[in-house]
Amino acid sequence: MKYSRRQFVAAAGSGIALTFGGARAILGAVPATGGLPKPITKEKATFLVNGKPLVAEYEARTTLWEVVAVTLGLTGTTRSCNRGTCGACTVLVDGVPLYSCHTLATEAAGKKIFTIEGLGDEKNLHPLQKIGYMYMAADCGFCTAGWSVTAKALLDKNRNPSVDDVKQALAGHICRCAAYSGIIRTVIDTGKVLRGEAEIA
Amino acid sequence: MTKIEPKPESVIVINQPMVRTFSTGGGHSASDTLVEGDQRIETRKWQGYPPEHLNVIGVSMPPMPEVAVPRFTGKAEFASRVQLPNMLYAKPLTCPHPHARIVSLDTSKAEKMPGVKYILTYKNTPKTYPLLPELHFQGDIVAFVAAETEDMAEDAVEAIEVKYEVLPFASTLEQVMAPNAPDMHVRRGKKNLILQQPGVPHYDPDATWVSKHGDVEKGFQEAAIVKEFTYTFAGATAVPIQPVSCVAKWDGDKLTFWGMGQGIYPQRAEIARGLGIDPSNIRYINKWNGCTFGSVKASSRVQPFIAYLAKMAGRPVKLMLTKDQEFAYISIKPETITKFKVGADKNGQMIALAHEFIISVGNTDGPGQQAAGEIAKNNQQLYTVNVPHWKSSCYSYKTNTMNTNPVRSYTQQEVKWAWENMMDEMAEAVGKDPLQFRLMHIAKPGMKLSPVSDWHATDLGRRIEVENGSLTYDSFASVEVLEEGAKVIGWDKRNPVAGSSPGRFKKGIGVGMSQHHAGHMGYREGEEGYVRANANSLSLFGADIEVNANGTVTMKNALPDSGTNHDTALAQVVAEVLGYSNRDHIRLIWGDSNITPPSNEWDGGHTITLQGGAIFTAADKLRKDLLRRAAAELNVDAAKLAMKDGVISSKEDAAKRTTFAALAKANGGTIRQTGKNSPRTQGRSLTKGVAACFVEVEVDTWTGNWKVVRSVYTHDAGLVVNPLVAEADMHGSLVEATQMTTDPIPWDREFHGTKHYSVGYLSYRLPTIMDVPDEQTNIFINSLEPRWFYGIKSFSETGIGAVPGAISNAVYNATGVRIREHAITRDKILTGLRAKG
Repeated sequence: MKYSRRQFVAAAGSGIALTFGGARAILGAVPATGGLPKPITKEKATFLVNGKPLVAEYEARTTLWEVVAVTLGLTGTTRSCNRGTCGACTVLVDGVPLYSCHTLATEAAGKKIFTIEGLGDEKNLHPLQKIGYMYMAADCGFCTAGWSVTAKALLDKNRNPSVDDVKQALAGHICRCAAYSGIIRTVIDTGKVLRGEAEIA
Repeated sequence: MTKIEPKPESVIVINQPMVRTFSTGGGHSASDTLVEGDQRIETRKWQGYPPEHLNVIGVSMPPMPEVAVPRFTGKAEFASRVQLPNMLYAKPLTCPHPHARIVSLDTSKAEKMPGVKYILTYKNTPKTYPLLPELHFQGDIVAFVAAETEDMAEDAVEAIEVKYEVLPFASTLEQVMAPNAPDMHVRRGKKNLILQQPGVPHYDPDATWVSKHGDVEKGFQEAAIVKEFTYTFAGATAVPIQPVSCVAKWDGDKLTFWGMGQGIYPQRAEIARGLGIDPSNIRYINKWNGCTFGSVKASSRVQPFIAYLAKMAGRPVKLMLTKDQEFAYISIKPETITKFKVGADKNGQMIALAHEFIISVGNTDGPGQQAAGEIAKNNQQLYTVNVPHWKSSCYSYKTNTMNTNPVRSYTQQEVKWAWENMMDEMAEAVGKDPLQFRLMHIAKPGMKLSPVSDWHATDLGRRIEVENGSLTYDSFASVEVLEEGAKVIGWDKRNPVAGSSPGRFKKGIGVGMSQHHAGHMGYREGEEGYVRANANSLSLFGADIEVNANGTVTMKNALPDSGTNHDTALAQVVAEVLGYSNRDHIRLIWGDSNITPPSNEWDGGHTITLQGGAIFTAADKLRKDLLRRAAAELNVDAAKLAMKDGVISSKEDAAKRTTFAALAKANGGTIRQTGKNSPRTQGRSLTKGVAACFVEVEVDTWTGNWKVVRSVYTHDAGLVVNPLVAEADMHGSLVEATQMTTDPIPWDREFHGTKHYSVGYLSYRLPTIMDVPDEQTNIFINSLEPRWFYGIKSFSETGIGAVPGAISNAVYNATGVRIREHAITRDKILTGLRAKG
């Protein structure tokens, strides 16, 4: 059967959490048979995005990605598969990485949202961004916004992650350029900088 | 305290001497001049820039900050990130059948749905660029809807009522080669087999092309041993991470278009043709892409429709295809079958080789089959240079599938999968070590290939640098890529007998090789060959370089960056030409047709040579221009001037000096030079590259699960410009070629060859961070290409064909299971282990 994202969202009813310490993104949803969500109701809520309260209006079926990247115009968060499988669209909701293409906006209403824009801009780069640039942790950069916020969430909890910790945390992020080696080095060495054991040349 | 610096992870660089003992066509001699081919075209060795006293080239540094830093801040402007006020969103309706005709199509319900602004179908598309009522593959576009939101557009797509007459189809090689296969109406062919024009050399009415040397049947009669092998490749797809995206916005008659591809001017020309307007009315912007892998080039087909939708709706329109939709509009790696018959003498030397290559080229009459010809022959040239009798035949079939075109190289993995398995199997058959067997047979620098008359007409016969009827190699580290790689992987620790290591987890080491057209060069402006190449203006590569009054140097380069970071290497070369000791003064403007000069598109790993030819020419002209101006100002002979870090001074009297900035100021603020380079169609095409991939795999014999634990990837690199960026590129090359070894095209299980991707990534296992080998080393052998600036050549795509065979050979060495039918899966390993008992 044809299986659209909206049916998927309606069936899943919630975002997919990327958790630390072993779990990969798991898709346990069953295809919906009920068709389109009806009626299309309008909602309005405040989101605390990177520390700023922002108000958005959206339909009940609207995803968090659409509210963040389209309605609120924070275009840094990219959407790739729109099926909750690649991790490009990841944002932190109350500190937890979620695939924003598979999180309904209504579930994140009133919560703290952290996106790539919150990590740092060109004048004030976070060590993850500086070291990522130095280590070629991005070839094309399309998946970068997603794994960067997940890596930040990891480092917020654990400033001394092992290679395995990094792999476990980022297993839900597909990088098609396969810059994985650079990403692993970047997260490990960012930990060193945060712990004061290394400095960026 | 640890210092964090831009250094590669694990790279070995091996330098080769400037003047080597072999010389062909005037290449690696001590002399300053190269004389190329029968036409005696003269150029300067290294283009006048020898690989000596280098300051910037060969140094690891991060990519150009203007390109790379925005990737980390979320500011890189992918077309999918473009948000405009008042913008509509387009969604396609696609054909569910491999071949069908639309009987009726009713959009009346959809038109009345909320938010719907315009619906495009075959009934109202422009005559210059129609949608058609006959659909030739699953996913072919039936309609586009533009609506206020993506959800609204999707709702309307579902409300369009279409009745199809399903027509006979053939999607797989098995179906299309069957006696009762439907007629695919090939433009020139025999039923569904694509043929060349009668009269071309080696024309065969039963094959798409034939190349041959000697008498292969006689060779088999003389052989001490004759073996036959068949290998299949089940296709693959590249899966760029960015959805195929574009945005169109009109201001009166002027169109601004944010696209996705590998060049901006060819894409702009396609939209202009589609809309029947002059290209100068279109501003085409494409600076960043989230991968393209060659395959996204094919998606340019949707762009004129989006421009037309925006025109008709009177508002900006954005398209972001979903993964299942875009698979019909990016090219795929095709299904292929390869058959070998190989004869060897009593010493194990191959003396006769027949090679048949059967390929599904998708819904096209060509010229795909011709490109397949050139690439298909690479490993044949590598291994049959000393084989007295060989014949290669290609059979290209038109099918009801998506277009076959570049996907992280054109047919390299599928062709070399077969060659590299065969070389190992043949080595075993004659009792040789696979590494020794390769060393016995590979082409080496200075060797002459078989005469050009052996090869079929569309390939090598028209190249202008043929000498005495033969093609020759020069920069070509075929021996070193094997020997150096073998040292690092520890080839001597390999299982002497396949599958002989004890225990549940078995390790094995394998090798694969790949020869490729490492950066066809074309000829650059000012060279005799440039005039003879006589390229039309659309196919030329162009670039500008300016010196500014603030002392910076700006490169203007049309090509978008898909993660290729090509401008980083180009800027390092420009900095070297202009006498800088670092890259800090070079700025970049790229990817916008309003502010960058016309140029063709990149593909096949040719950027450093084809686009480079334009940029380096501009840099060379600028260097000479600056010296001329300084000579006039300082009243010093230009030959007695030194150029260093933006300062030009007399070698005899350092007080006599001026700066780039001062010269630019004196010239009204800027000094600009332009450069052009001809495309590769008639270039220095005998420049080849070669690579070897060594892998160690570990196979769990209980589950069939396996992984690459170590890799050594060895490249005939010309002169590596930036080891850090090169390593990152090669990491991707290895992991993606591994994916293509393990994952075929995800056809529908029920209707094989017809349906692909229903839910995007879920049905195609892509490598994650868990799949990176524990240890990976890249070896760059600086083999110095005498025809190009500083000895540089491309190697970005050279090795990528070596990986699938290397993995297969390593799995065999570990387990004794030989997998001849791609892909390598746990099931096949387990089945093979059970069969062995």
